[in-house]
Amino acid sequence: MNQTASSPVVELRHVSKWYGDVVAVADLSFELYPGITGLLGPNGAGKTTTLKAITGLLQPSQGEVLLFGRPLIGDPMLYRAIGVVPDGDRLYPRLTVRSYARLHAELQGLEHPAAAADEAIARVGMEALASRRLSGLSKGERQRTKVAGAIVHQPSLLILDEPMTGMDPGQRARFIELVRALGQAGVTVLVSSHILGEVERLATQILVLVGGRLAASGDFHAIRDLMADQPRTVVVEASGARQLAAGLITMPTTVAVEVDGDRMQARTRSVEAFATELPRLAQEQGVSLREVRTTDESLEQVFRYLVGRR
Amino acid sequence: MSELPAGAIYDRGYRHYDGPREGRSRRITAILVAGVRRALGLKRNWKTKVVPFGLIVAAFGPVLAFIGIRLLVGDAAGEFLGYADYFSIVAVVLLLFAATAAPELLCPDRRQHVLALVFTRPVTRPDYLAAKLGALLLLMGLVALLPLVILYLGNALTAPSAATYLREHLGDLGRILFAGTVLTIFYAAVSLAVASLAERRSLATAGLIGSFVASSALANILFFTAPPTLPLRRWLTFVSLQGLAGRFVEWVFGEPFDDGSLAQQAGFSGSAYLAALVVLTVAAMGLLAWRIARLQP
Repeated sequence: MNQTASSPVVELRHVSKWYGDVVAVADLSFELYPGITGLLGPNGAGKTTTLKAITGLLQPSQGEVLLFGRPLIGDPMLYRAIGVVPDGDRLYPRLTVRSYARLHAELQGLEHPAAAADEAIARVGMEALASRRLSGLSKGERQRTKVAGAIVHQPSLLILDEPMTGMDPGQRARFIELVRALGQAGVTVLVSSHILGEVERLATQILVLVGGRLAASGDFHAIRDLMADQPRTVVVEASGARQLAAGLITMPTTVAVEVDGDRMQARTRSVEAFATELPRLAQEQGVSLREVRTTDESLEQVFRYLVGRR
Repeated sequence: MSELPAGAIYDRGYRHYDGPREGRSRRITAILVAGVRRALGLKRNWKTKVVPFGLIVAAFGPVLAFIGIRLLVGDAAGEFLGYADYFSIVAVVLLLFAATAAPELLCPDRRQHVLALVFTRPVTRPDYLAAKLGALLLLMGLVALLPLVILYLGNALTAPSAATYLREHLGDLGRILFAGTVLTIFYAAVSLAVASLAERRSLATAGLIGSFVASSALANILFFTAPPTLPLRRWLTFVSLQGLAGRFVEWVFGEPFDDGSLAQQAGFSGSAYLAALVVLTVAAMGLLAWRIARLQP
């Protein structure tokens, strides 16, 4: 696909989809660029509807979806540049891994489908199981096979809908490694999940859907910084923690302080102000700081906040 | 002259494939071949092969046996079934074949939720329809045409003069091809249309066989119990789906309708049955196209 570095790979412009009186997604607008983006949201938030709209499996009731600057619906040749791994166990169970990948290479019209299938199988690390029927594979192996079918034509955009559901921890770790490798290779990857720990390890860019609307988008650390009304927890290990606590509690941005021996846990509305005041107080009181760290920087914290505030 | 480098390292990393692509026919062929394999139970366990291969044996068996006997004992084997009679066997095989193969082609895609995999590739709904229809036409054409063509050639080769037989019965070959083609298209279209309505194969199979058998019984019961003065009574002959195929074949081969039969009493010419087959085929194709256009992946 001819795409300039600055133009989005995927662009949603005011996309809404409703079924009768039920609004599945409302006025979604966002852009995706190369790298891995996590699509997050609780059940019923509209993740699958959004992915179906992006992959052309449903027509939005309103708005438009552009892939590489073009609408996908009515232009099936755009599927040559994208790979899709739908949710659920959607496979032909009687096929072998190799015949499954080869079928997709043929559907993509590749000139050498057998070679392309073998290359994709190798990329997902399924060479040893290439002759095995899909019905005889584990969940993780089936997901890897689905990815092989989706990347057999080396697409620029890869869309994965709940790819890690049902995998054991080992399978998840290997799968994350595979997707990260694809992201590092310049593929635009959009992965939906409700397992936050995995998305945190996989993607830095996130889209959060809540109730069919976009609740946040971008780097999740940046989103956390924007959550100004949500106090952040800072843990301090210091020789005179109690003295420090007495000084910090006078700050207007400090919400609460707990002290347990040399350990202090403070909740503050401004990490910046806290970071300026803490060393000044420590120096003034002759207290030595051993450790200072924030504890609620996780994606889960961000997600809980976004879901809870609607 | 510049020297060639002693070695080179090529970047074999991931990059988007921008190489040549095959055309639409390749995509259709890929689905078609997968469909043929599935319908015949190829690369699957033996149980899935019993019905399709059993029906193929039923279609080919009698004609091969007859030719074998003719080769062994010559004209003493006597007259075998005529082409129209053989078609009456083939029509039953075609119905059973269509009733089992068509659901096998369409239903599992929905039941196993693989449509999302197909329709997120450069495959359009018309491509999908063409591939499924092509797979069934290929298989049914094999059952509808090949045994009759073999019978025709067998008759020619075991006749006192093959050349004379071919010259005198050239019209039969045309009739075989015409009747076989019409029946193939009719059964394929109707069976796929019925299969497109059901998600379970067993339901589609039972629905198709049931509607053919029941319509035939219904047409006869209604016709023969209705008072002869009832307006439009003779049109009940078109209610019998399997009867349409039978009357059409009899007409093509110049056979009279059986005395006292519904068709004979209804008084329509054979071309009316051909017209009915065409109308039903077009309606079935329309339904099939409508269903496939609305498939929800």
